[in-house]
Amino acid sequence: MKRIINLAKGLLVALVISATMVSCSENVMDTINQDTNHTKSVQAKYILADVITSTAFNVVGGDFNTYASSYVEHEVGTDNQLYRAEHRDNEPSAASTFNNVWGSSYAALKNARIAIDKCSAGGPQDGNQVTKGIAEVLAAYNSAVIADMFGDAPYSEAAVINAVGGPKFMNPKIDSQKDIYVGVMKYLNDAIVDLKGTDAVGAIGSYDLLYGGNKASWLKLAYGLKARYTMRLMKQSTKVNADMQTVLDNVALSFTSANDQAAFSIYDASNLNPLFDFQWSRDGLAASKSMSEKLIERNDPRLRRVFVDANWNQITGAADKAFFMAPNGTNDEAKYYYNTSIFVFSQTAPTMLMSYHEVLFLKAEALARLGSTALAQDALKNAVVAAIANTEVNVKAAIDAPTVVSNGGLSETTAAITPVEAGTYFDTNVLPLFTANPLKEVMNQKYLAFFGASGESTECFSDIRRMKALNENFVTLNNPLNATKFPLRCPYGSDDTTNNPNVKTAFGDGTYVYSEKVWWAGGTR
Amino acid sequence: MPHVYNNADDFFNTGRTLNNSFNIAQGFDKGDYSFSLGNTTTTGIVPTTGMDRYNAKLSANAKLSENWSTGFSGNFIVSNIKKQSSANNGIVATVYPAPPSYDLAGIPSYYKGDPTKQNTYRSTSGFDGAYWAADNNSFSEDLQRFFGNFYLKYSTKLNSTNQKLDIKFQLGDDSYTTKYSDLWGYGHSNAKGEVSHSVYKINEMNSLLTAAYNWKISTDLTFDALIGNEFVQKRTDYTYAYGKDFNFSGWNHIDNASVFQSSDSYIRKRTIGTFGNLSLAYKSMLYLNATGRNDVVSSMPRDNRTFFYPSVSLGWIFTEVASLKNDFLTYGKIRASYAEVGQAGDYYDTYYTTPVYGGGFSSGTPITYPIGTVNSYTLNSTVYDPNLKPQNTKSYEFGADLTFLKGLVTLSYTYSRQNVKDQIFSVPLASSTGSASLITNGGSIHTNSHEVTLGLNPINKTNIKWDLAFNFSKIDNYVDALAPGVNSIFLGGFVEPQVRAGIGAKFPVLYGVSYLRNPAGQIVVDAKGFPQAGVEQVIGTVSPDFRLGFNTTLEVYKFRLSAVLDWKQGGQMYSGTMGLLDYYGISQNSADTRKLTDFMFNEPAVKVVSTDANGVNTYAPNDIKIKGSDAQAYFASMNNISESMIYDNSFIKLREIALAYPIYVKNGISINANIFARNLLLWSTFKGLDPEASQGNNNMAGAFERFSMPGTSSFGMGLNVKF
Repeated sequence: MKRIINLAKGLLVALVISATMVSCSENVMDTINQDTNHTKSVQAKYILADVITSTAFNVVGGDFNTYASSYVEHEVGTDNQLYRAEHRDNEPSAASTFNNVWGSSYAALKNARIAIDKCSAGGPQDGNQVTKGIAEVLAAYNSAVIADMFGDAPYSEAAVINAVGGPKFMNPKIDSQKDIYVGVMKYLNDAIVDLKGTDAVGAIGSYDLLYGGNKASWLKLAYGLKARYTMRLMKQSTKVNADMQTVLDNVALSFTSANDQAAFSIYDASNLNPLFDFQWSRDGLAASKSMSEKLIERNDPRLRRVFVDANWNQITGAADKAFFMAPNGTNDEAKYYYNTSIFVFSQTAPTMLMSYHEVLFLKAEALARLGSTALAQDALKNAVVAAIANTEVNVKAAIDAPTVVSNGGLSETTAAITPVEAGTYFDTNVLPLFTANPLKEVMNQKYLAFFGASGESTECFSDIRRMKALNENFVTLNNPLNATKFPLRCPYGSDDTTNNPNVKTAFGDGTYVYSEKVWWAGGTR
Repeated sequence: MPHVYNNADDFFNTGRTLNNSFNIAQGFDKGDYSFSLGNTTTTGIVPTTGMDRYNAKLSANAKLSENWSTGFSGNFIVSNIKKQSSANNGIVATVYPAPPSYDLAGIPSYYKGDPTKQNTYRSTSGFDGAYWAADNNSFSEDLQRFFGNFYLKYSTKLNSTNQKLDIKFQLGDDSYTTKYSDLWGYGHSNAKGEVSHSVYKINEMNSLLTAAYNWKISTDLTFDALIGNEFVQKRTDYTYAYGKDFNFSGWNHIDNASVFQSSDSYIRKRTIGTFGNLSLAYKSMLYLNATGRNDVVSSMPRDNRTFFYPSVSLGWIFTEVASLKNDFLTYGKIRASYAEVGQAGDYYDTYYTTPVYGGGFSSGTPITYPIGTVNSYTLNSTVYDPNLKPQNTKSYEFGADLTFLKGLVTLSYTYSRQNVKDQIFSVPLASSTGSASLITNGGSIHTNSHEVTLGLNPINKTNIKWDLAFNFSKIDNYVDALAPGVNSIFLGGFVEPQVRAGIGAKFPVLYGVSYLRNPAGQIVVDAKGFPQAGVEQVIGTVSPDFRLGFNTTLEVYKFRLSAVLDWKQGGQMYSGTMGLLDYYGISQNSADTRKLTDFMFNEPAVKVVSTDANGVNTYAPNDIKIKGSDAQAYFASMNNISESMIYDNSFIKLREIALAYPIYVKNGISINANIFARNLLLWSTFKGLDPEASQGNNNMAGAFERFSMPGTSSFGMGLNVKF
């Protein structure tokens, strides 16, 4: 009997424990698996903060700019990847080279599109027109970068999410660059409408790391970008003069001073300018001989400001006994050997999504192309003075760079260029060249203006290709390898060449980067 | 006369391991107990690395009454591991490539008067100098762990002589706290250092209730049944603190940082399993077994979290049949089984997270949120498939075990096939999607395996015993289908090259930049005679043709000598180290090549001779000689082509040879001594590095290597005292 009681006790214990354990419904399991560590929804402003940061740091100022600085001879690649890019060996045609920034560009586009959807009809912040307009400008910007750098590329099926946040298309198809530009212009036109509106709830405010929520500035940027992209498509235009007028009309509504420009200026001792970050990590860039020659030819005051030797002394000029430029495309693979530009030390120099001087150069170019030489001259003078002012901002950022200073700092050997000196330089040295060939000097001055730490080699790379398409070889590039191997574009990213058959097929072995122009440069893809 | 330094030899130390353990166990009429203490101290081959481990164990069992018994066991472990960095930022990245003319050990690793300013033969913007790193960087792993359980058991014979019922409830817990600290000292990458602390507190509770019933139906027939319930709840609590840019040097501590980030997460996971087992044994000859298990897991999407998986097996010892008994084949068994195993993944709703910067060219963290007070949240780059379902593995197995001549020869063979359906994995996405990876049911794979074991026992005398065993295995994996939009399964690696699985080849394969080939498949060299980079494709196969293990033991009187050998035939690996050492000009190969007047690209290749009107090239065999002085440029172009770093890695390795001898056995006291040597001899087609050196997770084991740690040989001795 006792045995049976014991047995019954045991079974009872077992049953009670079992019962508590089986009572686990789907609801209980859902509760257990609930992710309390992350938010599943945020207002658009929290997303846009990073769209702005990533567009500046990764896309405009990052790897595109680093490699482009070698292609356009703002700098000379002198170590490892950049040396090979300089020597057109592997890197310019390899899918791995631009893979990171390929991903960053699409992530930024995706995030901008998410923000647009949030602020559109049916979205949680419907009615936030200003935030939506900002997102549209950023979507346009990243779309244009993708088209400019990669040519035909995934677009309509790319960077689109489904209802649960996953990719709507696993293997996005490739769209033509022309179609991408239709999208760019639509985003900008929509932005111009939206930026004239208001925000209802969750206004972007300080999360707008570019303009602090100032919609008037965004509107100016939208107009400036319309000017930039209208100019970009000139080769494919059937109405060039009308387009030049469009450029001027948009410039008129764009930046009126350097205070308006789209400068991403959050950098400090710990958040780093991307060109500085590259050089401090890799030491892959040296001073460009062809750049120095253009400055010498113009007796340009920037020559005394923009180079430093391997011992961190500012080079005073071509006569400085430490003056030692890296010859473009024929340099040795050597760090701490040639001079470098001072800009690789510009730890806190802002990245320009679009600068005031660029807008002025667009104006000067449009006027020069329309034959309004006198107006073009005024515009160019303003542009050159603004450009040199920006150069000095970048030089100061190098001299004052916190990390560089804590390692001993650069020795500044010359005085800064004042606006007055810049004006005099224009009148005496630039004007004769302008008079001889207005358009040529506009483009050369724009080329010199883009030399710096502002991430503008990216835009310069497009300018060079546009000029080549128009048979306007105004800017002399000295790399002898350009005869057969000037990169006409960036290769697709390996995340897609390995995971997206559409892109894998288009990529082939990557050598198309040397043979296929992008569409707006007269190519077919 | 310049001196030649063996920098790698100088840098690596001889590692040492010391084990001590102590154990008391005692049994009584109504129970028993056991207590043990142990300690292991290891110093690694890299300076400042090592491990300290202490463990204690206490267990006891008691018989409370005729029916009831109980017991417990508890383990406590404290360990501290000190490491140095590996892989891309690895500490050996500045050791292997050091020029032999540079005295890496002798020349100070920092500037006089400024210990944070690094000094070595190369720039330290990307890699820290090895000696500087050993002095200034530290990586530690501190673990405290308790695991143990308690049980209560009720046993009854159910008033019978041929039945038995055991009901057992066991409650266990495994609770551990691990703190990982990674410190890069002030001066790392010419910056101001950074530090992170990650603390994981994990608690896994396990309750198990089983009822086991045994019924000897007749002398020939035995029936067993078991039902059970298992409840597992795991809680993972994670806290992370990060600081960078120390205010001043000399105090590498998070409190000295000027930029901070922190994170916290708490994850729960519950699994409830219900299972049963029925088995029937006839004589000692025929065994039938069937099982079933149903799991409910919290970590899967709603309505996809329950799954059932059965198994059935049959074994027949045919030598028990009277008519088949003989003296030649003394034991013979054939067996067959079918089993399914379900497995859950980890599913979450798509969430937002703060973006992280770094990687690429950056040697540190170039942007850290919050920027000022502005924080950002964007969609996480890994997304989860809301239709994720449990994966299922069905396996079939057939085999036989045979013993000849009363144990002189044993032979066993097993064939098995596993079909995995709905394999859950992280699918790498085309980044034009805007996301990086998708957790989904990515496809189906299958594995075929053959395994043969042959044992010989040629001498079995009182004072001399000798046996040997061979173990042959051939395991082949194939991808059968991939989910829509999925193009391959990524197993590991870099952006390029990768270890992956795809349709059409035995996996894993190595995938990356190949040599440029013409339409006929011949490698095309350029005008200088250098190979060129071609498309990304499969550039190597990892799977070996077979593996053969061999072990033998010889006992002569009280001496016991044993050896273990392994042979791997076929398969290839990617060795980034070998490619880079050629590129850096440190390898013997690069030295020899430089000294040559001229040399040629070492694979059969063709050159372009002309191009016809249609742009089609004509080719001739490569005869372009490269000057020895162009070796650097040649190795640089080779370094761009991952296919040039694919090596065959068949090898035979003497894994262990050991000798044991009982020194003293008397009065209940025994003292045993042993000495051993491991990884002493190696014959390999892959010269220069350990063919098993690799990095990354198990998917990549033996397939992928770049600045991995060298393989080690070890020698040891032990003393075992029992009383």
